[in-house]
Amino acid sequence: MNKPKKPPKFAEYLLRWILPDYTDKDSLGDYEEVFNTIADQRGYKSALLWYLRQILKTIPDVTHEKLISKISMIKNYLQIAIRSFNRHKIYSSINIFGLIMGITSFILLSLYIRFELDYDKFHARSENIYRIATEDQAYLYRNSYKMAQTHPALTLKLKQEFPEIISAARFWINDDIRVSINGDSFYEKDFLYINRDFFEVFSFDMATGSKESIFIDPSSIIISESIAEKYFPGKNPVGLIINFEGTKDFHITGILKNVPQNSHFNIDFLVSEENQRIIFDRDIETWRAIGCYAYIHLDNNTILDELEERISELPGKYFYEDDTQRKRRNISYSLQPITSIHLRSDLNFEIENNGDIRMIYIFSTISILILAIACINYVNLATAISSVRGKEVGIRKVVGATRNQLIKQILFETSIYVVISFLLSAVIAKLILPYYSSILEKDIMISFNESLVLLPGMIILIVVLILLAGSYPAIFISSFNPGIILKKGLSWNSGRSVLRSSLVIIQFTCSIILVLSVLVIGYQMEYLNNKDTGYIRDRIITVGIRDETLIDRISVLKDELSEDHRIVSVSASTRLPCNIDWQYRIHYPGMPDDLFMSMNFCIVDNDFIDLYGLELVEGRKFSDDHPSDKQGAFILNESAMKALNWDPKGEYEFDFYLDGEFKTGKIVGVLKDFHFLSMYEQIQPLYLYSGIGLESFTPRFISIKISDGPIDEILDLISAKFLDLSPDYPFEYSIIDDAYQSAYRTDKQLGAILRIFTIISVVIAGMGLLGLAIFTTEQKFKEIGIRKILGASAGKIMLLLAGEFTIWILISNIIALPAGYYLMNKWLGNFAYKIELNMLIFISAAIMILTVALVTISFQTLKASTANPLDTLSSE
Amino acid sequence: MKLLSRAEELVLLAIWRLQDNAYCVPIREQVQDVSGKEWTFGAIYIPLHRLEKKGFVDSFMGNATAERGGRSKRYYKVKKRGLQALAEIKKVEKAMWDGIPEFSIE
Repeated sequence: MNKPKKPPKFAEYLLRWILPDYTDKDSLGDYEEVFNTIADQRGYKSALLWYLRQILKTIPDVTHEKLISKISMIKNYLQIAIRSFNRHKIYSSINIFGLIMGITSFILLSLYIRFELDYDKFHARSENIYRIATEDQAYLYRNSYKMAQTHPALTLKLKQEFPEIISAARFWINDDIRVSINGDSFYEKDFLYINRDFFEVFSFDMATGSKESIFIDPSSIIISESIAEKYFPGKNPVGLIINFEGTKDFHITGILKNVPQNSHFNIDFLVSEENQRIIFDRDIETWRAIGCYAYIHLDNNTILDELEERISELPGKYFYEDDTQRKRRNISYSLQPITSIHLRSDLNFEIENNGDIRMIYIFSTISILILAIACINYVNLATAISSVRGKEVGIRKVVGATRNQLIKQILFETSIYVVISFLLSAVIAKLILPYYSSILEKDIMISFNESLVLLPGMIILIVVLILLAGSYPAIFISSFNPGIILKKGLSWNSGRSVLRSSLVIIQFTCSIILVLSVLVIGYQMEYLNNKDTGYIRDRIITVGIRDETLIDRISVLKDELSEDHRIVSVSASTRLPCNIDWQYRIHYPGMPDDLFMSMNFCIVDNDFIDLYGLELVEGRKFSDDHPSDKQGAFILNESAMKALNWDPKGEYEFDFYLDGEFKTGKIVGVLKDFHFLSMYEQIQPLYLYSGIGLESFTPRFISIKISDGPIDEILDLISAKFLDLSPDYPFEYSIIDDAYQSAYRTDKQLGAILRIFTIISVVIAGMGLLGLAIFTTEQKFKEIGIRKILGASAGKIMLLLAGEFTIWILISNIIALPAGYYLMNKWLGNFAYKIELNMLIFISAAIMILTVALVTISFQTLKASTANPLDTLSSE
Repeated sequence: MKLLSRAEELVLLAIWRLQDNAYCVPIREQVQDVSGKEWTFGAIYIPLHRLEKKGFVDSFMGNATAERGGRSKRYYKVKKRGLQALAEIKKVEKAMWDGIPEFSIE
């Protein structure tokens, strides 16, 4: 006989793990014996197969056997759970209700968080895609400038210089273009000029047509599904023509599937980058300007720091002509993982307004707090009820139930509550989702398939909830000593109220912190809304200028508009006062010759300052009386004067670098500081330049101040005038106050969401308190009756009942207020202009919660204290 | 007394037939031969444990052999109550089959 063969160890472990009740040493021996026989006759492999098959086939036999006994047990548990639910309807409904609200909130908040965290993860290679950001340092005097864009020339060198860069995509993007379809014109966004590697790096799919088509013929265009649906509903647009800016025809060769909403950039039109050259005559291989976005797909083992350094050496190698230039210019590049752009990047020239990682932290905290509050309700009420159920438990123990069985039973009961609440919450969340997404302006819809992906997460959530809510009651209840319980009964205050009161205190601490945050955020938003921005936002309409020919006829337009008496004044400028975010280089006497300084600027005409009611602290406005203003003059704001260390009364000259040469002009006045960026930022140095219409910086906006009266009529008039002068361009306007408000949109959404969930958390905590109040008074009915007979007044009894709860809430306040102060101070730190946190806010938060709590329990205490002692005492 | 289940009956009969050599491996072979189907060990253990719990069989440990990886065999022996149960089930079956009209399956 051969040496006996052994089945592999893992198989034996598997067997033991699956069938613990039927595998002891000798039965493993049975298996091994047969295994050995088969191995001898038919070889090791088939023996192994036999072994595994045995394991698999045994499972149904065994589970069947086990189920029968399980089912009867579960039946019993279920029966007890239903009975206990019926007996304690109020507490049980409070528990279920609290759990439903808590879980629904948790689901909604986590869906949002997941949505935000999933940005750009849909790209197949998202982990290895990086965006190249540019930092321009030393040629600027005193400040550096970090941008999301790069030099077009850079991307051309990347692949040939660095083998670890597998592909390098780049694109230009146009956000305000006029497309005409069948003679109708519209303004559209998200028009991308891409290179061939674009589709290598990103995972965008075509609905029809080929990706290559636009590179074969530069006058081809790919449009998105939503654009196809918008302009060619129900038709196949392939082969049709789209006109670009009235100058160039593109024929449609493909349709791109809509870009997922959680992409940090959207695509509506795709053309080859060659069009940058063809249409705009732009050098797409230049080192002299930035303008395109570059994304690279890296090899797995790339060391990022090293690559960043080596990429930053490229300008020195290919661009700088001599050493002085090398010394003067200091461009460096950094790599940003594509998946972190949405939440963690806030550079100049971001494609879209990105999200904020702090928002994610806030939301996750809230979701966990609400869930915790709901769980605490369960723990508190379940342990409280247990004193009533003491007899049941005692008898079970006497009859022979082990502690383990009792724990199992209570956990089972908890899981019924949790599972039912979870299922209802899922349905409710699904119903609320559309409203919720519209508040957040994100499409957080979830399909059935997607929710299956979340299944493991849901199961984990359910298990965690069961353990959180059920484990303490289970351990507590099962620890009863049957002898004592059956003899004396279990008193409600039997030593466990320390835990109960600390749990209530935790609940209310969380609620108070949330209420406090809502108050502070509300006040801060109100403060920003009401804060004087330093310019007028009332009854001013702005129109963007797209028609380049209109720029030459601005004075005609202004005259035409001013003819109507309802139009007070008209002004043209490069930016609007609510968002002067353009920066350009300047130079001033006394500064090192070969350096520049970057400063925000706006080129304006002579009416701008008056129209927006900007105030001067020194000097004069731009004016027609001074013909030299037309050649270029400057007005600086106070911050700029301070930054340059100039005396407002002095006379200075200033150079403005434009199109490769300096325009020199005098500084004619000093402007009082006004908020030309959002309130998050300090007021920066700023200059206004009078040379409107000078070469590159053409005016982009017309601002129109209108008199009182119906706005629609005036809009009709303005629209008619515009269409008269540039008939090909659709008329679109906005109101400056809307533009101003949009900067605070995210914080307003945050405020709205926070408000909703805060109310929910207070309601859940309040319900828990109500449950406890009902319970205490029920327990104390007799005590109250006796006290009344002995002469206690109703007021005294109310005090007795409410006193404990009041103390709990006061303690919560003491804990919550410093914590809330710390958190809110941190949040306010984002704002350059903010409210002071004063005592009043804290006191009002404290009083608010105290009132809610007292009102909640007062109904119950009132009922108890006014009840007739005869009724309560005669029941026995 | 509850009647034996079919699986219990098969196993109990196999043990009785094997007499001194009744441990799981031959029991399973015996049951497989009689029924003409493949049985997993699990399907044997379940009725076996049940029989033992009901007090129909006794078990005791035997010697260890190399082909069992040094693990000893557990032998089973039918007790008196087991024989009574077998007798009863036989009686029931006989009563069931008695006087039934002839039939044949093709």
